[in-house]
Amino acid sequence: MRPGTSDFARSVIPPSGPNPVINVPEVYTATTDNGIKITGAVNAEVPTTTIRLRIPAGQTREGLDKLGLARITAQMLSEATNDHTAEELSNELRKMGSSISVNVGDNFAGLNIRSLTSNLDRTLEIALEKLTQPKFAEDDFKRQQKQTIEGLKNAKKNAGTTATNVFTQILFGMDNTFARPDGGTIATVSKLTASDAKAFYDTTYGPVGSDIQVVSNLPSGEIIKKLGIFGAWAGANRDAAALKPYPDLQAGTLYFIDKPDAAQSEIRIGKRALNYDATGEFFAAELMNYNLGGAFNSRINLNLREDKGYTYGARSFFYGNDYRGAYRAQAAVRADTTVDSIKQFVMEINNFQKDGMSEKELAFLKNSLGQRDARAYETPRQKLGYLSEIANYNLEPDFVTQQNEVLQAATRDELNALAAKHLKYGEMILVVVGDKKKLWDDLKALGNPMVELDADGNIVGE
Amino acid sequence: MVMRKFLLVTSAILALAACSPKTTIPDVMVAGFTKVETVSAKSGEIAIPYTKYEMDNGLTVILAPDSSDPLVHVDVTYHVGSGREEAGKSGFAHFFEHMQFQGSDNVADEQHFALITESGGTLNGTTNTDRTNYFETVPNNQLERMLWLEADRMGFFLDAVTSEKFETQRETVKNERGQRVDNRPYGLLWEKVSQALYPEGHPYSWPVIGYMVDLDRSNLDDLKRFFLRWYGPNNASLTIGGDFDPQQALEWVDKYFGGIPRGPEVKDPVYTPVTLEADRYISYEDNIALPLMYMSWPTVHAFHGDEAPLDVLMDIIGSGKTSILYKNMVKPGLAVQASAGHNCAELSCSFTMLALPTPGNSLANLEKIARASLAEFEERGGANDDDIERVKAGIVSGKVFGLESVSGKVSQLARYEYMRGNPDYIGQDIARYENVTKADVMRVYEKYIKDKPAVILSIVAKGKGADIIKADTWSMYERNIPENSGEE
Repeated sequence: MRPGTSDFARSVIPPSGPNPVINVPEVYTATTDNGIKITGAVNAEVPTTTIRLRIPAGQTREGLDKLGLARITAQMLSEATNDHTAEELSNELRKMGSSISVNVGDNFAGLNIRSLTSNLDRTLEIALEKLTQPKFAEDDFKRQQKQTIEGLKNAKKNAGTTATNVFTQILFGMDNTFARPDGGTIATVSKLTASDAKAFYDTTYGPVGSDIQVVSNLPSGEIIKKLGIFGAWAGANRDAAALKPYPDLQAGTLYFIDKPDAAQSEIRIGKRALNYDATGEFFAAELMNYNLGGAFNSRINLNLREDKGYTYGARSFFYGNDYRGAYRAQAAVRADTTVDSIKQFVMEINNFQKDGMSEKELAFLKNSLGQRDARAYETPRQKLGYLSEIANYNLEPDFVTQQNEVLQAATRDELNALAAKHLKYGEMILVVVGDKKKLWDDLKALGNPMVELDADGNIVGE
Repeated sequence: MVMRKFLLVTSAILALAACSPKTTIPDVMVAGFTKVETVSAKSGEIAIPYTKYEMDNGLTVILAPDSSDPLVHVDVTYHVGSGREEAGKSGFAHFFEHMQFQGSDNVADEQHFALITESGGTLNGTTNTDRTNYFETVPNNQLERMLWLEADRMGFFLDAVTSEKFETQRETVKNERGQRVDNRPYGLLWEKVSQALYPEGHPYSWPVIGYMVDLDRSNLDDLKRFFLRWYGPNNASLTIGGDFDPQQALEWVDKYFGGIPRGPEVKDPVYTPVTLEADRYISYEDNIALPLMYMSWPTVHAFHGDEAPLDVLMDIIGSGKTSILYKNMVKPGLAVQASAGHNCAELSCSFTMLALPTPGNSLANLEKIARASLAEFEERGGANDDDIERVKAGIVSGKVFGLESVSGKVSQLARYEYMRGNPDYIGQDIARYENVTKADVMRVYEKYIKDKPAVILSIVAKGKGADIIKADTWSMYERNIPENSGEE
């Protein structure tokens, strides 16, 4: 019954139509009375408003002896306020279909606010109350602390999380707080108190350095007026801790963490690399990596997944911000293919470092990324991401146009020179989380120096 | 339509629809198609405008133009998931999804990904118990190419399959299972509960990703039979959303899909109630830090009249800080996490409670509190106005947020189409929550949960077998695997 029939040549790939005109969202800016910088865009299609309020109270503001303090303090904003219980606020928000959540990163603590625009006024009042009137009740703190500690125990059982955490610590050092797990360690979190959190809040949460990104169907004037509610907020500010020098990497070392009976091994291979920039060498390095490990059809994924069947997915990437950057290749692979997976990774990285990409791959890169922006600004969340990038690095809204110019102008020689420069396997380290009794001897045969760590990244037996 | 309480919400939407040019409803026609219906933006209601057609070969085509961004989203949904599988052949629907990315007669291996990526697009496929879908979001100049790709694997797939591709994808699926199930803490929870909840032979009794022994036993002939049985145009719907010319789109659909013959007749799966005679206690040891207790009651099926009041009950018992489980478990520090769920699929729903104790507290105690929390719901007189209000508001705002992306709109239309045979269901969907009364919530509690048997699972850390709630009262049977039935 099948195949079907055709009165035309199905083997001919249909042509593409003319390239669409891509309109980058129009960005507006404003400043509240107390100096919070607002960056916004209109999304007229749906009557919703999405807001991200960021306070420079992330992990870089906490001390090494109080790891986890930034996160637990932010979590207290979702507990009781001076006037209301958390249950009352939750009930009211949900009756409006609104949500307010908190999160913490290296630099910022954030309030993420999402609401139907018809309910925005009351939602913003609640957000302001959460931001400015947290109660820091003892029992709320104790509960958050207990949950954090159990979460940390749980995370250690997750091989992928462990592999990434340990990799990050090795690259950026145990004495830079941002390189440690976001939630802290069990040892440090156990010692924190509600007054620590209150003190951190009192000295860190304030409008200086805070900013807002907003996407709403409302015109800029109306939304800026509504956001003025945050203009009366007063509070202190704390600078980020000074960077500690990054450690010398023991290049070539394979760091191993035992996960007994693991069906899969988590592999991380990489090194420190460029800090973020929007249109410079970092951006070009991302372009360079696209055919090695960035696309589904990249060399690494085609080899390890599509040809060998070792993994559900393998990739590599450059990532960074304004004070740190790294290159990382990674996959979760079937346990019995661990050694060969590492060999395949190393081979792909070495080949790419030495010979770079082909003309065909360069064309694939330019085509793929050249039109990708047609779907880059569709949803409020996407627009918010674009606004955050502008706010993070003080970019001009046309930075994406400049990126496209860099992309179109990029030559093979230029990108391959970056591969030669940034992909030296001789500078990389390896992290493997897997079943020691099954893997140790075979991994040893690879010839790399091996160090066994626990899930916190401490050397086993020391 | 009842829309009393959400006038603010809906009028805001209407205001937008009125001033926006992008809600023009396609009214186009091409030979070989029958127009089923056109739905426009409606006064006072949330709606996604579209036109639905049926092709002569049975393919359902839904066009939902929206020119707000220069992109199109194409979705092909086949009404086949693991719920159509036979005992002993688990995991086939999902495995087949993988094979659909391995090329077809006119599309080379890897070319599917390459063409879409190269055009700046993105793609994926997913499989659940009830359907398999394939979708692409691409710049608006790529629509014809997407239709060509989707038509090729619908109509011209079999000759391109090789045993080599079959073997590699079988390994990839095993890796997927390793990563998502076997190597992940608590990853086996759903599989263990489903085994105990559904009778042997019920297609929800096995996991969507399947048992690897079943996949190992399968061969290319099974794959081909599966394709011929379920991947006909008459068991599929093609939904196109975004910035495109409807007349042109219909002509392209005709060109690429018109020559694909109808497959065997497909009937909607038949619901049979799932019941337990007594509580089933089960347990297993896992590489985890914290133990977990999970309770699951069979209830109704998706879009059954009692689904909405059961959702309200779920919210009262265990959604967020307003819930009884939060008050009784999390707030006093007995549990790190506690929640309820009501998971609904085409052939069955289950009402669930989950909790992870803080150190020093036992699973058995959490089970006791869970049961006491249900009793408390009854004693306090059931649902109150706020409870119902919260759930309704969540449904309405969720539907509005779902309209933020073309892909959100398209998948909503596609889901209503395979579940209800009617893409225009968003209003009715909201109405069934609007209409829930306090009496409904109490009624479904008494009918499906109160004193009704459940599956109760304990997951404990390796070597901590003594910490389970109580000794297993049920164990997994030796599966009865039918002889391969050969050609259908």
